[in-house]
Amino acid sequence: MSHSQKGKVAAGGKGAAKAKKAAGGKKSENDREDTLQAVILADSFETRFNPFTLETPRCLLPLANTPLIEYTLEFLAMAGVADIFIYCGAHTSAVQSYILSSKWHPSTSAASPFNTLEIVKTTARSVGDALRDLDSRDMITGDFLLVHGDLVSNLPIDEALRNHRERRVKDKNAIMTMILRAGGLGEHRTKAKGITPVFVVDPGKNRCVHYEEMHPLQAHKYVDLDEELLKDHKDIEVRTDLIDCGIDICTPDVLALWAESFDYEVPRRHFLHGVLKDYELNGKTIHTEIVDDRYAARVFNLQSYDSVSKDVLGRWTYPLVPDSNLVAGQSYKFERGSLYKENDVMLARTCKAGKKTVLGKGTSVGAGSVVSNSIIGRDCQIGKNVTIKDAYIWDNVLIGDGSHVERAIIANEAVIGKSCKIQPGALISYKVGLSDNTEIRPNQRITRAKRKRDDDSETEDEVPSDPSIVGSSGHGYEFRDAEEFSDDEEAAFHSSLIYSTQHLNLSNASISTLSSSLSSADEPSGPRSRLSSFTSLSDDGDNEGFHHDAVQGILDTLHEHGDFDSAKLEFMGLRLSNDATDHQIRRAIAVAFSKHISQLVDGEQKTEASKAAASAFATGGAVPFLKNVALSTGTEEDAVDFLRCLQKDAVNRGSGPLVLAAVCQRLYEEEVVGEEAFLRWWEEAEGMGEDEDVEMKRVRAKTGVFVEWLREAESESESGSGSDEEESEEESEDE
Amino acid sequence: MAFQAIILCGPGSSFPTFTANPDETPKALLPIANRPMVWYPLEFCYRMGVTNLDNTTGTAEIFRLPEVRDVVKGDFIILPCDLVCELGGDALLEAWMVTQASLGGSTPNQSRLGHPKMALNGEKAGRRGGMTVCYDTRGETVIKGEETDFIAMTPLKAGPVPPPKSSVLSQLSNLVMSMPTDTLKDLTGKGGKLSIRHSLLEAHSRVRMLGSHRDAHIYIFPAWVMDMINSNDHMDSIGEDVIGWWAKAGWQDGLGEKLGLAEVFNSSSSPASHDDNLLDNPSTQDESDFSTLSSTWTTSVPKPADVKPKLTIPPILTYQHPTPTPLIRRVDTAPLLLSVSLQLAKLEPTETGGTSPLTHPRKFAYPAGIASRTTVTRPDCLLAENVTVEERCSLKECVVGANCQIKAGAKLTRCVLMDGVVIGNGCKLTGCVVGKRAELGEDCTLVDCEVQENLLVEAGSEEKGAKLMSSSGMEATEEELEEELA
Repeated sequence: MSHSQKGKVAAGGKGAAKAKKAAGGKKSENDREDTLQAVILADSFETRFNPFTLETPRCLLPLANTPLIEYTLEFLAMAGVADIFIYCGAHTSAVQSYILSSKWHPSTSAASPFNTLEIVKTTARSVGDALRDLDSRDMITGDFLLVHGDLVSNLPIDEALRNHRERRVKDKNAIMTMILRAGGLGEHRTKAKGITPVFVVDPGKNRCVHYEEMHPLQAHKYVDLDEELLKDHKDIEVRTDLIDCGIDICTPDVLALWAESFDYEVPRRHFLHGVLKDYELNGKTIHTEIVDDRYAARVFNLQSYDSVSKDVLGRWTYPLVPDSNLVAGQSYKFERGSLYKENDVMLARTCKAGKKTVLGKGTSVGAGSVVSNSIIGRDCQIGKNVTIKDAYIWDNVLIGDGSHVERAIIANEAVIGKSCKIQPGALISYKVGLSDNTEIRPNQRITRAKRKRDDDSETEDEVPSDPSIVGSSGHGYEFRDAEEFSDDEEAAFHSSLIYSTQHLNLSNASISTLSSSLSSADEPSGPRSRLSSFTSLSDDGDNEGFHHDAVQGILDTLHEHGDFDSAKLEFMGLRLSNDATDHQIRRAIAVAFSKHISQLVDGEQKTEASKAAASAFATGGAVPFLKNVALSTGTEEDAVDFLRCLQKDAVNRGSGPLVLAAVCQRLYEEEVVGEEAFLRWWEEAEGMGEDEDVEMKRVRAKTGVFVEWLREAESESESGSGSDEEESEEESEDE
Repeated sequence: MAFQAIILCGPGSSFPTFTANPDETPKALLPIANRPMVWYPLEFCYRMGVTNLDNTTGTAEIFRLPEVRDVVKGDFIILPCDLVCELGGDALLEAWMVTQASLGGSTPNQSRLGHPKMALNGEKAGRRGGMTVCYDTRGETVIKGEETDFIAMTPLKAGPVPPPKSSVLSQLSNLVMSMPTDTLKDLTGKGGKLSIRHSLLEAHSRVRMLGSHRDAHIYIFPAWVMDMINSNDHMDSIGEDVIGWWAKAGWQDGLGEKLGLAEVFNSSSSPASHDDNLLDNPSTQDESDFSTLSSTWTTSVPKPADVKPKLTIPPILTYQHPTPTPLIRRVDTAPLLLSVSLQLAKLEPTETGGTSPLTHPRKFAYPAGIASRTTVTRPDCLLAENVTVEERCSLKECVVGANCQIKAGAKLTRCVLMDGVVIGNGCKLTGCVVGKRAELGEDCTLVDCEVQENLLVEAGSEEKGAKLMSSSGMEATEEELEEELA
């Protein structure tokens, strides 16, 4: 990466100059309060705004027709910040040229409220890298504000700053103060959805003592508080109502802590959580300033883009509203019914530009069109009889007659043909063209961005348009997340404009058990219907990547007689990153076990099926792994599903019938699968009669003996079970 | 019919030194500031205006006893016998009524406003909730070994009008977890971690957890709680099980069903029959839902019968006592008895204008018994009837029971003497609790000791932090002593 080298040299030069200044400023350690420094993380190193952030940096995305960074800089100007460092990752040059041409840069604009403003280029791939880089540059001389380039806030920080400094004087270890906005007890559109931050606060000391995040995909549905913590803090509050606006008042010690831990990447889930957890070790305390009035929020994903836009139009962010005309050249006026309109807007006489709408300069709306709750940028041409509802349309967009846009984002210079239908959640990126009569499905993302070649070179390739999506004369293709970015919950919660958990396979939280006698019978069964295990067999096709990796991982463990405890971690990580369903997990495990055992049977050693199964199950932690991962819910449906997966896989194996019988027996003996599940699986298979696949029938034939035995054992008294077991073992070996 | 109060009197296993013989001295009769313990809850009920009392022993299981079931007819209050509560019970009762049992029909049916949990309109809109009280154990002095409870609560939705300052309403919260600290230790167990369910945090966005507070065991319960206790055999104690499960059922979906609350709520004891229990209102007033008469409300369409409505668990509220005064305290260990007695001794007596309901008419009931050349500090000492203090004594921060004899030259600091104690010449006692009719020989020096009743302490004994009890060999002499006294 050639440009990075250049960046470093340039920054080094600046850093040296800065160091001189810092040396001069050292003597005035006491009056460092006079100048406040701020660091803006203009790049979040996330992919939540894809496909838009493929072509523009996040901080330049327009929010109510004003780039996001304008709001952040306004906030910092109000806070009285003197020196600003803007950290950029991708698209640094775009940020640089924007800032240089704006009113903010002191060297190009006399009106700039800042003493210095420096744009730092970095090769960082995470916030952690950026802050470690900052630490090495030695530019920070005192307390500084750390904010993100997507902050929208009208908070005065004076009080928080004063409290922070008071604490700091009393205790050198009070290294950071987070400003958090209380979001009220009920629902709030600006509260984070999906991933909820959990702040554990000692209200007496305003100290944050624990932090973690919870989301519905977590298997561990608990927030764990340390016992010590409860002992040390007799009064604590566990708060999920706080809106984290990412304003941190930091001391230089914070950077030192970042520098110490190379694995910290994000400020909250890693840094905050880690520092609080290591309190015993480092003795550093992090404090909170919880505010109840004024506005503060981050535009950290598309859902918050939606909610913060609405807050801006609802004037919660005053004075940061369109009619304040933050950017030079804007001429918004606030009209009746919360209509913000710039000069030179042409509205046809029969169109309706309704409530809570923003219309930029040079935009025209054709006859009979209806625009409501939407933000439309400059120089857009909206045709006749167009309906635009709850949508965000940026600059220079053309929308053909009769089109319908609802709850979507359409980026600059996109061209929408006539009578198109754009459904909720759709994202249409820069310069995409849609032919007439195209329909864009909900949550579809369309882009024309060039794709980088895999070999890490700078050349980018034009991606051919996909006519099945954009129509015959359209331009653009459907955007899919690259494999490497789709890790953890990111994709599940952040990437869509509309928050929904419908596509996620969420299991119900368990409820307290009263006592052993009561719990078993009354446990509410999962949402799965009896039939779902049948239908799910057909959708094995998707997520093949997960299946392959997972099977390989388990096979390796089995081959090497490894330890399943460590394999489990890997497996769960894989599961999260691929958003795999329970069924996919069961299938992968079933395939791996069946494959391993049949390899032993068919291999050179010619191990007997039952012995091969026994050796597989004897691998360290295999039984708990099966119980906790494959059959984590413990319901009968899942066990039946698991058996069916085994059966299906056995079809492809030479010694399939034997392996299936042996595995079934082991599963029963290790109490992984109960006899009810076996019987049900068998009955369901028998019940299919003619419809049953011939192969499937053949494969399960050998297991019939075992099932017969189970039936007998059930009907008989328990006394004779010992001898029966031996019998059946012999029988299965015979086969 | 009015409220009923049930005072639970246990055998007092937490006072081993003083209740060795529970038949003679049950815990409930141990003196706190020269009054038997049970006087305090009785007086509390009297002040609250509840005159229907029951005195029993045991905990939740007693509510399964048929005699108790027969006695308790309506909403009821449970008090422990070791409660010292200066705060008026009327304030608590008022708060409960305002939140849980509004005067029939005077407020619009809130279920239409989106929060069905408040049982207004009698029990038309849902069952009434309950209320508990807790206080901070960290007062002016730290008492060693005082039990604490782990209490988690969430704020109530603020009403449109702030409650008046005098009302306790502003200190009410919704209880979501309650357990003794010992149970908490069991829970955290091996990992040393307390796991909080996500469902709690999803249901409540602000959960406050208090570790140093203590459940005062004052419970205001609606009548249906009786049925709940009876249908759940596993509930042993009120504080831990009844309250604990109820609080949890409020946020765990499905737990209410598991506890059989659906049946309890739909049981034959129909809500209407309870309504008149509450305030002696003519029941007609309760039955008419005034909000339906208003034209601004549209009557809701009745739900189809086959749709099982979601079970709404009535809220259990908790009043968190904010300040050390007025006093709320449970006295269930000797150090607490000492500290609370001394605290009560400092109250201004009624003869000089003291207004606390727990104060005594006079500081020194028998001034003539105090010799002239001796020091007894008036602001913090309390002397009962017929106490004689001989010359050259010094009593600071002491509570002395009736018929005690303090002989010449004794120096007592921060001590509680129960009735009929004899302190020998020149004894020095600091921070001691001395049981009934105990006798201390000359020149004893005791620091932070507990002396069992009827015990003879040999002259010249020196002890620190000990529990002086009769050894098994001395029991005979104790019995002899009793016979003598009898």
